Amino acid sequence: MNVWTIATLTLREALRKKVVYIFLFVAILMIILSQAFAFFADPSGMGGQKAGDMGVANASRVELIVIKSMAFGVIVLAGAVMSIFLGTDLIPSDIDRKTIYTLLSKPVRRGAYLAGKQLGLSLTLGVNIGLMGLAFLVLLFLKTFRFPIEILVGVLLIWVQFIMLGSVALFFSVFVSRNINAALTFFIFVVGSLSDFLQEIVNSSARSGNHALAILLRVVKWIIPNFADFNATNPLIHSEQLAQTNFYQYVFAKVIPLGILYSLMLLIVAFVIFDRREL
Amino acid sequence: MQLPDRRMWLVLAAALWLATIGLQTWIDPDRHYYAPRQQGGGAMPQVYKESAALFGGILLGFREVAAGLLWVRADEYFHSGKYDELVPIFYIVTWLDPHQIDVYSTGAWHLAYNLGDQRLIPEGVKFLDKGIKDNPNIYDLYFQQAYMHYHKLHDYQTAEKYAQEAVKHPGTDGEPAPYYIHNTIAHSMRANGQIDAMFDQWNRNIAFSWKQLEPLLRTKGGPAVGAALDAAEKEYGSLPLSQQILKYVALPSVVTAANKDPNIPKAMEGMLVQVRNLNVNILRREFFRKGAGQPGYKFDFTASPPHWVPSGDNQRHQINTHFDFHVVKVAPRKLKVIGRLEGADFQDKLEHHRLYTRLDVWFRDKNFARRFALHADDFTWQKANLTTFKKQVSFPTEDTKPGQDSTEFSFILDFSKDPDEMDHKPTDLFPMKADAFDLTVSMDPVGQSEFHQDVYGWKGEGLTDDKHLVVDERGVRTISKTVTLPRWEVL
Repeated sequence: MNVWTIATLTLREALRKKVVYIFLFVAILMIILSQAFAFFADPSGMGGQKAGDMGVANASRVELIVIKSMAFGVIVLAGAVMSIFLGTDLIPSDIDRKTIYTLLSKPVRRGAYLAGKQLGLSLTLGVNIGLMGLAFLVLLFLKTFRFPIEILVGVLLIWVQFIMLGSVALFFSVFVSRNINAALTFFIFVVGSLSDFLQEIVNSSARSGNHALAILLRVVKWIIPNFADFNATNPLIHSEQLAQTNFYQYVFAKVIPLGILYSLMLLIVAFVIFDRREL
Repeated sequence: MQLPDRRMWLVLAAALWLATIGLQTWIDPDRHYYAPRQQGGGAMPQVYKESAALFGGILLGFREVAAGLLWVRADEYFHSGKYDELVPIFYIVTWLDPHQIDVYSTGAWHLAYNLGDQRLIPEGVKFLDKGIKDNPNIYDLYFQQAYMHYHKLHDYQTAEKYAQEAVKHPGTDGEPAPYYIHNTIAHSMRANGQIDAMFDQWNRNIAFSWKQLEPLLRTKGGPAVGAALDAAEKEYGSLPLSQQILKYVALPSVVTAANKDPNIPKAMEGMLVQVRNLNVNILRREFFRKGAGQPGYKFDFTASPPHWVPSGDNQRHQINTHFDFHVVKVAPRKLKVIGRLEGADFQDKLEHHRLYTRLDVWFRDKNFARRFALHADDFTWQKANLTTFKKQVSFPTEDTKPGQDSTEFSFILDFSKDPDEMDHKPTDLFPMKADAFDLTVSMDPVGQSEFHQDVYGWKGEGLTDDKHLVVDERGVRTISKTVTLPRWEVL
């Protein structure tokens, strides 16, 4: 009960921040403006002119590809900014306003406090990413006169990705300052998004006989959350790929559980550290 | 908190961590299916792989957007004549987003057709191969390969192979491969000399199309169409399917249904094209070309329409082309080819049927195939060292005057300028590095007009030559001669 109360309180506090609305507004605007990029990518110049049976490049298909990829990209970018901005501020703002002392002096365990904060952050991100997803869906409806509901799976994927990033921010916020936390969280996000690069370096090191470096990098890859796993919206962008892959199994059986388990793990470690911290 | 409590939490965290490692290990092999990462890039050098992975990671969710914008850039390069910059862009775009089917098809098409450098044709083929590796489950790029092999490379066997593969897969819209891809199989078989197989294929195509159309008719047309079709099947069921179909589509209830639902005439149109193709080919087999080149038959140019008729003399009446040509150097890098080919000439026989004979011309380095094979993956080397140029010429030309000998031909091969006037430097297009060059002029009966083919038969059975008849691997009787020119005779 305490967890839910703190979560809803966190959600209300976050939604009171004007800057969140600014992010949200800009993101939704960018999603709407993604149509402009689609206009630039109209293949009437490069494609389109083929003889006989070859058919023509499907301009509307290309336009949809660009709109979808642009919109997913904007949601990822806005989600990353929001989760870093909100996540790094969760505990420091309570300490600044000294509300943390009031909360923890009540029969609220530190674990429940942290879990509530994490849940509140997740809900805040959910509301914002959900609204962006909704704008995306409406835009697609206006373009195609159908609701491609599968797009929401991509939005869900992005949400879980940023729950995980939020948990990284929350984890750091229990023992480092706000600014350092923001820098560290951003760093982790970038490195976690470069897991393909890390894997290539691991392969390269192993091939060149540098096994120590290969092992070290492999451990780093296991420790740092793999955000690149969530960059999996390509089958939603090219809908023909959807029927030919086990996309939903990949999302629901593998990646989302990964995000939830990783977030839980970080929450526990954060709790263990926070529990010993003198406030 | 007591120590044991904290340990318990840490043990739980460690267990969760191990679970994430397990999940990650399970995810890793699958990632390339869902992230825009290419599957056909196995040959990419490690250093490129690392750079690519780094760059791709930095782009986060914007890889497809970056691909789209780069594609626009490629358009600008194309229209401003920066052709050398185009090829890397094609590869970067498809690396960023390997499922951009249109980029593969249009990019390969540009490489093979539009950039004015025939050495890029194999690059177009390679690019499509990469596209197929990245998108093996849709028909689009298999079909593009079939089309390119048929029309550009005249490699009908490979064209058929790709078309056969194409029809096994749905399109990007999930729909089965359209009728014209099935038709490509039959056309390729004909061009490849597989005449019996071609007839079987047309029948298969028609059966396939009818299988698509019949349920559509019954569903959209309602009980009236169903009943009419059932009755017609009883009446015409013993006829070959291609003939049954003509009866079915003429049924009044079917015509009414077709007028109501636009999907029906669309599906019907493709099927009727196939029926027409089959019937025309049957007509050729049974009437126009029957007996072509066989003893006791001769081609009657005066008949209306002209066709092979029994000669009654048991002699073999083939057209002897008396083909020959020689080459004259008219200026450095400029050759004149002068020759003679006595092909089917309707001009004297039928006033209004003046038909051109098409000759395939191929000028290339001596041992071109070996030189190319040694550097097949090194276009920089190819560009600096390989010379190849193909063109098709027709004769007699429109300038041929009445009464003039229309069996003579001549044409210029001018390597001192860009033949497509695309501002390529001639020395770049034709580096002429080999010690000698081969020039082949050939007349492939399969590549002639249908009227010519009626004279020559399906595989050139009605055609012969004293010196230059070549029966190629298709079993097609081609007239072909190759001369070797030393370098000094060209430059």
